[in-house]
Amino acid sequence: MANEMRFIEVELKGLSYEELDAKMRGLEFPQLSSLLNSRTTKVGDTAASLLIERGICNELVDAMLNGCFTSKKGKIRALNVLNSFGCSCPRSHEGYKLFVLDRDADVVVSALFGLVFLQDLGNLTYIRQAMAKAEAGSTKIEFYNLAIQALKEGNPFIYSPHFHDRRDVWGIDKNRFGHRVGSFNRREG
Amino acid sequence: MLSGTGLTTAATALTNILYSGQWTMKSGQQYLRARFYDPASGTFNRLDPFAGNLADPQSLHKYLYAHGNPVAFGDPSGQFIDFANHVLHLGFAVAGIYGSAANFQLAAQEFGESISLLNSGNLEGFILFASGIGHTLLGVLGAAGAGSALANFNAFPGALRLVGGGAVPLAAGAVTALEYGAAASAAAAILWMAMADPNRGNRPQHGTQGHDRTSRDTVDDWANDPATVETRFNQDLVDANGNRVPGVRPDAQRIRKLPDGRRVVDVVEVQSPSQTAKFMDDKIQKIKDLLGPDAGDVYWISPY
Repeated sequence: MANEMRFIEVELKGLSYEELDAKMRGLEFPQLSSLLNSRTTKVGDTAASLLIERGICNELVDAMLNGCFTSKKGKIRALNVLNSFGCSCPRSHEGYKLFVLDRDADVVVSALFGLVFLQDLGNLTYIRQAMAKAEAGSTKIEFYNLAIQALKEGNPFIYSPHFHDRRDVWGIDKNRFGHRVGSFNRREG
Repeated sequence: MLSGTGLTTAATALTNILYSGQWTMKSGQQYLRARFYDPASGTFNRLDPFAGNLADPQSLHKYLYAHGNPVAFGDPSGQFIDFANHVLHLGFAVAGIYGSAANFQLAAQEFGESISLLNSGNLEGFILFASGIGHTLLGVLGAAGAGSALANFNAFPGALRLVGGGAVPLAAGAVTALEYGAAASAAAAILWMAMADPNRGNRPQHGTQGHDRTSRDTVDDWANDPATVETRFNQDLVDANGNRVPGVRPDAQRIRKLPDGRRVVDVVEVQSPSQTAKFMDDKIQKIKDLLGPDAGDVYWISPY
């Protein structure tokens, strides 16, 4: 598998986004998920884009739990694919729970985003456990605290103040945050 | 040459006011503002106070009147020949200053945008960076030309020097080249601005299919909204009046008219799969800061 992936990566080098999309569209899930680890932004991002399009969720969580994502970029891409599914992925919290313990702050920030926007108070436990293991004074602590506050107050935008749930995938309370959900085409003239 | 003693007998002037508005004094000398001309000896009473112009060797001559060509030129001040020279060099100086300022401004914009693009992994940034270097060089040329034109403000027109042919020294050629460079710098800046991307409508795809699709959907959404004044896809950020705000190129933006007639700018950035939520929030905050009171709804969204 590793040799095959190296061969595919070499073949994909230097292609444009359009060409990559056309070439990678024929790849299966194991190959695409493996390419999330790519050091080439275009290749890794195209793999993520195709996984989002296919809506493959449970296999992605399994890949996370099986340690398929070894690089920081690979983990962040996998988490962003998961984020794009929102609440529709029943096992997504398993992936978030794993990566919220990661040693890299950027990976933790991305995993916390998912745990916060799931808006399940049960996730507080995972966050507190992760925070207990984090080095005192590290930047991660700041984000753990922010996530806890957002969950407690039932306002995920405390954690990510500028996010807009365009496709309404997170089940956000529209009575409170209707202007942060759905199409942008709802303005008075 | 004025009304001096020549080979033929000069007619007696009926008035004290002579050629080129000069004035005959009681001493018989002719007053040329900067110095007196003695028609009896055919010389000036002292050296020409104008130091002359290195680029124009004839102007260095301390006693010569109007480059020895009073038919073509005059010297109403006794120092140098023609007001037209001032205008020409002033023109070069203005062109140089304008060209320099315009090119430096363009370069600053391009450097700012190229850094932003390169940070987000867009290789188009390299082209903008190279263009920035080009405009910097044009800016330097404009500044040097303006400096040269100002230094030679009182000098003989560069065009006439060139017509003068082989006698023109190398230094004069260099000075002339710089002055024409000033004009070229201004012309290049004007041409570039006239041909530049008008920063409206759509630019080509710059991310994955999903990223591109999500951005375009947003713009299409806005296009159906009567409050939308205009939309931009992957163009430079603009304020509510449509003026460029360098440094950011959002995926989608629109100018929206509020019910009270005021205009605001809505911006949507689509997250790339390798960017974190924190990165996106920081990016949006930067755009909000840049727009200030013009900021409307400024958000980031996930791709689909």
